[in-house]
Amino acid sequence: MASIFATLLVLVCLFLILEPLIRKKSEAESVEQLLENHELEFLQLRERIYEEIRTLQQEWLIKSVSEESYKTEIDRLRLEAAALLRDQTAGRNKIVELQSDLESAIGESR
Amino acid sequence: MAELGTMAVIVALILAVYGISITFAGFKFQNDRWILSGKRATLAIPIALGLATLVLVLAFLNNDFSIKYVAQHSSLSMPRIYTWVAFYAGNEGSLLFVAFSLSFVSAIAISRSKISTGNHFAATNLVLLLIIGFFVLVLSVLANPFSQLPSTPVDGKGINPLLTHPGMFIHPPLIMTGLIIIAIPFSNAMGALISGQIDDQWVDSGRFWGLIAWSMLGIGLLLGAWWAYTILGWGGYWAWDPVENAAFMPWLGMTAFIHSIMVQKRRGMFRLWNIVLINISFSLGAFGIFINRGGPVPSVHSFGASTLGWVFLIFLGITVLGSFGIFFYRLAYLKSKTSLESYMSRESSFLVNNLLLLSVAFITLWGVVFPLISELWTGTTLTVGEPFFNKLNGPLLLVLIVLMGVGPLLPWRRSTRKSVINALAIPLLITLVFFVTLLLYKIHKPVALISFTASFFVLASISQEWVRGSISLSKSGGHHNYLISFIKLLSGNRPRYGGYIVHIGIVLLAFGIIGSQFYNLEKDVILSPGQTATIGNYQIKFSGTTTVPFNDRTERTALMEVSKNGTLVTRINAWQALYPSFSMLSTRAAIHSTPKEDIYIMFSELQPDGKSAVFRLLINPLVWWMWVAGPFVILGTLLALWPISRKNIQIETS
Amino acid sequence: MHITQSVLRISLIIFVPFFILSLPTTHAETSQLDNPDSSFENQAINLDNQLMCPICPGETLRQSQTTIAKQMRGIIRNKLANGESPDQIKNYFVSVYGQSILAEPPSEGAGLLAWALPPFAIFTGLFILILTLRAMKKKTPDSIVQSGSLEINTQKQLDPFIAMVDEELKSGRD
Repeated sequence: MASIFATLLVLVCLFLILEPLIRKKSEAESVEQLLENHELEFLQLRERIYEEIRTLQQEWLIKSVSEESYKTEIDRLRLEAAALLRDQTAGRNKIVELQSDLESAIGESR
Repeated sequence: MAELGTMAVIVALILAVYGISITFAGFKFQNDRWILSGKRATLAIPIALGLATLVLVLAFLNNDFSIKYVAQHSSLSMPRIYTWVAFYAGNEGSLLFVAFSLSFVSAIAISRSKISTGNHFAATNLVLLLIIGFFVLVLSVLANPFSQLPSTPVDGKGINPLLTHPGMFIHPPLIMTGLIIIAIPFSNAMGALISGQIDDQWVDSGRFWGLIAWSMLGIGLLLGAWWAYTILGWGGYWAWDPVENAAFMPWLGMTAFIHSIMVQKRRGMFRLWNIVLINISFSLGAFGIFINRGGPVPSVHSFGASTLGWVFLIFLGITVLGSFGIFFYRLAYLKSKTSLESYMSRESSFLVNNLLLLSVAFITLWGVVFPLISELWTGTTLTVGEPFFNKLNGPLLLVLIVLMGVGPLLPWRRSTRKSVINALAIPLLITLVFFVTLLLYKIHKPVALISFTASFFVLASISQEWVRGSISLSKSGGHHNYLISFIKLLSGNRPRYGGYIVHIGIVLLAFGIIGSQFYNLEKDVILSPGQTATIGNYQIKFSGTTTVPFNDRTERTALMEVSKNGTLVTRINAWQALYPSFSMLSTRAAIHSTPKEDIYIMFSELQPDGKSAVFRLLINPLVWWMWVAGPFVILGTLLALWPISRKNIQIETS
Repeated sequence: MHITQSVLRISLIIFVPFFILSLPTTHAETSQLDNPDSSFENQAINLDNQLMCPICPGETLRQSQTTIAKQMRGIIRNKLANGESPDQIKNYFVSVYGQSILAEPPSEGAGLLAWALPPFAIFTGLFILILTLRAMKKKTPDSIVQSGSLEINTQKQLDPFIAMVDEELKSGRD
């Protein structure tokens, strides 16, 4: 009984740590992965800024920030969010470009 | 079965060593597959340690006394429900618990992180694995819970009677887990430092796990106080005992951290300071583990002590040197993005709060180590006990409470003198009314009077914030349902208002402490059956004892009738049990608890005549409110942790 | 020149209450004697609180349930009843068990260090805090200039994106 559990444990652990090393990496998958990672990262960053903007807007509504510092702060955050959107679009385009380059290269080689 | 447990621990050790090596290699050679494999090692360790835990639990349930640890901490007559407590009653088991809970929470934290490639992730995982690896190494080499006895005894020694209390089911696990999972925000910060990616990325997860560790420690401390109050039998709940202090100091550090990290989140400031704070907190946590596991100071918690003190001293040393070494190495990266605009701002009030909290932590630390210093220095040990801590920490904690009332009224960035006066006016006015009311109710002791007033001021300023906020939101929304506006207000800024709810809990705690410290009545009496003692307005009649023998103990119950001005209030039982195998008398106080005051009766001992008995009687005002503080702390923490809505993200990706 | 001024001001704000309060705390024991309700037993309990149980780790006489603690509590009450002062009783126990029987270090000799270091550390901390706050505040002008120039350079380029952000924020609010 004990030896069954022991073997099972070792097998599960071995699978977990070795799978990333021996997994086959198809190129298309990795570009998709790249795109997904890229989007995720930006979504996280953007959601943070939006949350901050919403918090600030509420603080302004209940008058717990002064008009003046609300103005400077909200402008800074909007700029930050816009810059992020710009970078995201640029990055996405780059990856898509990479992907189409890759596909055409594969097509040519065939 | 014992072999399976030992093997599982060794598998965990191999996983840790493998994970550390492959993650380091992946970090060094920029190989994301290796880093991912290291992540998988972190995910696999709790499986191995979980199996080890399961084996030990089964050994307890099956009374497998061939395992030394089980024989030492359990017995045939122990109710099965105490298996959970017996599991961490001793050194080896509690280390297994600590290692398992750390690895388990680490696995959650690591898999919660969206990005599992790159240097930042690798360095974070590496630090976590090093900490987990240390505990697994100690488990497998120095404190194996599965080591077997040469011959199997018929019965075990039994569980320490002090631990057979409901509070013991939650208090030690919460404290141990709370202490050790400071490792998670710590490794987040260290990961950011080591990888040199010191943007504010680590802030969110650092704050999240920091809050979790903080609330676990806080609730654990409160439950410990409750345990001491009901079982240790002197009518108090906090004694500045070294082990209590060992959990209290990291809690203070984390309290400073969860405030200060908000400044980085909102304003991009204090980036350097937050790293210092998390380093201090984790070092204090390591110090706490050192004190708890065989440190050189005497304590009522000595039951879990061991000879492993030196191991944890080394761990503490490496932690302090390593974390501050990395910190100074990366010092140049840690410039703040923005600067302070005004001394009268939320930012600077947080800094003052940090100074006060760290001062309390420092005084406490000083009190813990001073006996050792005096012994080394002069050869005589000087004791540092309760009066020392009360005199030095008491005033600082009071200033902190005042700050709790003022700080939230200060806006971020800057404020004008006029706006501050405007915000303070109404709370101060209400507080003045409260102050006069206290005087009318004959609260004349100056310290109590000031402390009550300061605590009430916090409530007044929070209420004003909530009322004003709800009204403004109602106006802007064009309706008059203030309840909806209030809920909107709370959900619109969860970190802030979650914090307010926790503050209310702290104020209730303060009320309980002030009331019971300054207005308690205490009396030691000897009563024969039928006799009555008077304390305050209460008459307490001793109706006699009943004795019930058990296998391992003899239980005695004293029946007490409590009357107030002649009318019967309640009948309560003060309980004690004599454990011959531990030569220990375990007591449980009879407590009649009301919001106004607790009537607390301790059955100290039976007189030689077998009939009359010694009792300690106490009237403890407002203690009830201390336990009410717990739900507020939990509720507030949950609100502060509640994640931001994923609504927008989903729309975007679909 | 201004440093000393603001050190003074902030330490006044923070630490005046501290000092006012620490006075009554340190004298709480004596002032209680004037109260009509606190009598002989209160005095005895105060002594219980100030003496350690010699055999139980980290517990005062008041907390400990051991026989020796009970006996010592009895001795305290006898001596008080015989008219001995609290200080005399404390000295008696010190002569029997040594300095470590006192629950707090004496304010002389090595014990003085225990009391003196915390205030010293707090004031050092306060001093550093004020210096830091001043240093942080001084930086203000440059950072405004910096962010201002950044805005002008990139504003145009970011305009379409700002419109997108505003649009999304509007839809997110409902």
